[in-house]
Amino acid sequence: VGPPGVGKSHLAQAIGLEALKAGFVVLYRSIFDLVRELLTQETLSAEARVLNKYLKPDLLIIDDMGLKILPPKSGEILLEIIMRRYENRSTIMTSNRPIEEWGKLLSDVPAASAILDRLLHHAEVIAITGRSYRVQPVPQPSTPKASH
Amino acid sequence: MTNTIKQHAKTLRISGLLSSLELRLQEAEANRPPYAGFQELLLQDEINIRHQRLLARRHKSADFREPRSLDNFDFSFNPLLIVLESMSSPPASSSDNIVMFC
Repeated sequence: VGPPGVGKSHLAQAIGLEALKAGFVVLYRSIFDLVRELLTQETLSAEARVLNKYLKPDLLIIDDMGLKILPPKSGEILLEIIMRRYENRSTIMTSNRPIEEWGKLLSDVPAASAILDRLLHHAEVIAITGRSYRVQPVPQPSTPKASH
Repeated sequence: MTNTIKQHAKTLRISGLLSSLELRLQEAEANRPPYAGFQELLLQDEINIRHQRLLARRHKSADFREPRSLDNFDFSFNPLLIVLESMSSPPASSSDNIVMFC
């Protein structure tokens, strides 16, 4: 749990790597890429194929919730995935916005409630607070000693 | 190594063991291991190579954005993250989920 730069994506991918080493099938996607891929399918069968790609992995990592504004119908897409993976496959989601804001982020409060209801059941919620690892103070050059 | 061995290995789809076969043959010449032990070693090499290839394929299809691991995560940077070190295994063994947020 924490603001940008505290390591949510790093940890999510690191956990994914450990799951992969343990023999599980893992898939990583930013939420923006995931919904865009599903929204741009032109036929129902193509959409079903893509959806199936997100349903099959033992562990699906959906990163970057809250980083960008999501297109309309994102809530429906995410709900479909979470609903069908519920109690069947594991999912990691990262978000830099509080859960209370997911309804606004998805522009769909009922879908957000249904997503969170399923996602948080059996879930480990990890809250990260702290400084951004990306924004570290630049070390100051040491002052040269005066020569005699 | 003869071309015949290479061809047979490819025909049988066990070409993974070819990468270490030269070394295994040299070791066998020097140490004279029992036949069964030598055969076991070759089969184990094939299994190891297949496992490595499977992991490589799964890693590629996982499509991680960046090469990240727990080893290169600085747990000391934000002290509250230390709690995560108590996680002994990923939760994928069941259908549990993880949500990370601020």
